[in-house]
Amino acid sequence: MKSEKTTAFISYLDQRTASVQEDIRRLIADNRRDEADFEKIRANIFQIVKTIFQASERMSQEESERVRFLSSRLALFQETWEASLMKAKEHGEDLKIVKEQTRLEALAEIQDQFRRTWEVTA
Amino acid sequence: MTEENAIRLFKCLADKSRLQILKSLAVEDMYVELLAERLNLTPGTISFHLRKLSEIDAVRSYKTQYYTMYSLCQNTFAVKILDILKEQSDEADLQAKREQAYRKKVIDAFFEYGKLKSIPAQRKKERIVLEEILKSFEPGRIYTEREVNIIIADYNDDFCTIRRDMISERLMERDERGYRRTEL
Repeated sequence: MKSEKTTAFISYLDQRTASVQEDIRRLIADNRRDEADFEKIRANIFQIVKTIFQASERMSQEESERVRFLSSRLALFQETWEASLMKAKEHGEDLKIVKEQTRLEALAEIQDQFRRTWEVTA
Repeated sequence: MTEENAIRLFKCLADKSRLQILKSLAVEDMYVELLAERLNLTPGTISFHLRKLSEIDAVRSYKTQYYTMYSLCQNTFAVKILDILKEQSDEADLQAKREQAYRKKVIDAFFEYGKLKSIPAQRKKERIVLEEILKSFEPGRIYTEREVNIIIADYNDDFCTIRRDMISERLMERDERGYRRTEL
């Protein structure tokens, strides 16, 4: 059985995915297709984290272990995307810069929620 | 402006944020952060749009003491859309070739050894056939009805129908002096 915290965290990810998808629809209707594509990246991050978290449930029954696993994954994402952003900035790749910044923004938001849910210190 | 460049320009402009950026730059030159603040977008997103706009020569940048400023390329927008439409297109050549191939196919299908086998039922095909017969008439010369009939009869016995259709298709004109080829 899922703990309240797990249920709340999954529900948060679902809500954010739905709200970003609404933003995507709004941007497309507003003829801002490129920005809608960036928001698709954002929505994708929420979905990826949900998938990873659900996969961790099959790995272990212990919530503390699952939290540690997700925390390490989020840190790994941050490290990878920060490095990628740095490289994009070095090469002046504007499109890649926006994509990596969008990923990192979504990740920061998720990490914040994750810490508040399990009171994990950074 | 080439057709390819025109497509790139129109595609790039078909975005509300980019249009807003251009509208802002039409008023005054600006730097990324100021545009970001005014349009409520991130500086990264503004830079992305500015890059796209500079790729189609819609904006240019220049450095000042503190900022990289962006300005509107007036020349790009001074081009009339009508002038772009009037430019010779590669597609026009292709269309002409396709049309030529179609004509040849119709002529090959309906003519045999210089004789018209049958009058096509389809108007488009009939017009091609009539235009082919029309080549036997000298431009500017006036023909009697008998002369017209004799020339057409070389192609097909139903010269009355063909002669009448040439008039209705406005390939030939008729007045009190006789028949003559319409100047196309």
